[in-house]
Amino acid sequence: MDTLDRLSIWAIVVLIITSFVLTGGHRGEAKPKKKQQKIAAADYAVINVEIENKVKVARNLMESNNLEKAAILVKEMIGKFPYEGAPHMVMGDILMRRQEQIRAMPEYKSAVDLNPDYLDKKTPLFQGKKLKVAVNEALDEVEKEMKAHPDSTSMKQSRKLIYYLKRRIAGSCG
Amino acid sequence: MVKLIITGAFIGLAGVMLSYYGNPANTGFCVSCFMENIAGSLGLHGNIRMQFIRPEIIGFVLGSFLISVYKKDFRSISYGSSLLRFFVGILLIVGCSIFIGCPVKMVFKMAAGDLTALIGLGGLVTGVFIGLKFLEGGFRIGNATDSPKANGYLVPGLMFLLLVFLLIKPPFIVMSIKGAGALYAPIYLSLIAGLIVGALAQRSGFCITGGIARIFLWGPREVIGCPKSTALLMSIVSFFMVALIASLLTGQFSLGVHGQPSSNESYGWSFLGMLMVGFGSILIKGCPLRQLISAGQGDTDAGAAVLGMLTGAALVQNWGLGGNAAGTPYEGKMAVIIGLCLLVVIGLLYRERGNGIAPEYQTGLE
Repeated sequence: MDTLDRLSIWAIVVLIITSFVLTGGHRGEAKPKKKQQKIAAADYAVINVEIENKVKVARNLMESNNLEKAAILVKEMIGKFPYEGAPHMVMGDILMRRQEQIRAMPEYKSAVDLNPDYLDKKTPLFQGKKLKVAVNEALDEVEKEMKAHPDSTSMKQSRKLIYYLKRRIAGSCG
Repeated sequence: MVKLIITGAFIGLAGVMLSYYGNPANTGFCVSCFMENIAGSLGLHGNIRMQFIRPEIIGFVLGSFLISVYKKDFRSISYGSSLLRFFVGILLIVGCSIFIGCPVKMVFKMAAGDLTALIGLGGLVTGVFIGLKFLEGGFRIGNATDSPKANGYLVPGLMFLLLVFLLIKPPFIVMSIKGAGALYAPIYLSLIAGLIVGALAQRSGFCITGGIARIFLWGPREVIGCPKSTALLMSIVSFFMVALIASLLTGQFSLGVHGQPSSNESYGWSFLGMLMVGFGSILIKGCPLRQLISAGQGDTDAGAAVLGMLTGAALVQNWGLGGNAAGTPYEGKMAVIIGLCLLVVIGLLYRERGNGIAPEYQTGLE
């Protein structure tokens, strides 16, 4: 047994211990509870129409500057359809209208996580350009806030979220 | 030397132009991403955003095949380690998926200003160094022996079949209509670029891990004295420089750490992913691109590695191993640790202790 053999065996031992540590940590992580919702195709079509109609109403309210009413309607939709991206996208837009760029970011994140088509140029839902502008505005805001409060944990989290969105907007091969 | 510099420069230029004309950002050429696309298109995984028969991969193999036949370089050979190379081929793609890209894409990422790719480079170089330690310690995959000529035609034949599928689109072949799989440059352009890269890489012996390996093998001073070593390194430099200039001219350059395409903040895992790629590539005589080129010129063991890469691509998608914008999933982290463990075990099992670098690695080191 030479030096390379001994080093290799040590490497294997370290890797095995790392895998155990990783597994231990992973088991300790809280997993999001997923509701088992099985929706038949026909039911889903009905839901889809309902969402579309409500999103339209919310957008009309937003365009006519009834931001409060629009927000109430969207919050109701988010409660009723927790796995749909559209209400989160509208909520993000409402918050942007209110000049609350940083608060809009988690909504946009939920929207693109639930429906990646929002960042897909090949689909009619693509909103990448709008999101890019919103994310840049939010980053400016966060940087201003961080200059004033360098230790702010919430701002650090917001910045992390913005970087995530920037990566999503930049795209990937996967 | 000129051949290698031209090869590197052409890969850099063609890759950036393919991104410009429709391929995903920084993904003019990426063996791992494209293998995942092909695996999806063949129905080996069900990610509807990752299904497309990438003509670039077909071009690499057929370009190498055609030029090697024309130049009478085509030789059906086997090292008697097909299963080993199949298996390491799987690990290469797993490692690439953690970093989100193969070594070729790593250079494109760097050339587009993605500073996180430097971490991948660090991992790749470390992996190459570890792999070389095993080579110096007597690691062997066997002598090259002639095998029936038909064996050498199998992988080029498979690629030709994929080309037919791409052109006639039979109903069992799935093509993404959205997602990364739906982003592609004009097919003829990708195919021509792939054919030229395949032919140039076959003639020149272009290999990213091979180039890096030479620095460690002979040291910087001796590398400068060796024309092939210098040329291999110069080819990587010309690849980077041309890609950098093309990225700047086409507006695809964005210097920074955050918000880069195909990246995340799992820097440690990206490092380990590429370490696995560098380590594995040295053990099986070449990076993923080199495996395709070698398979095209008749190396049946490289053909097995190509099939392994295709299998790995399917596993990455089916088991959710790949990195994404949010980071590296737990499954991916475990895959890297287990993969590294397996590579070390392979290194130990295939060593002939007391011997130096085996003859099969002394010719070309591709």
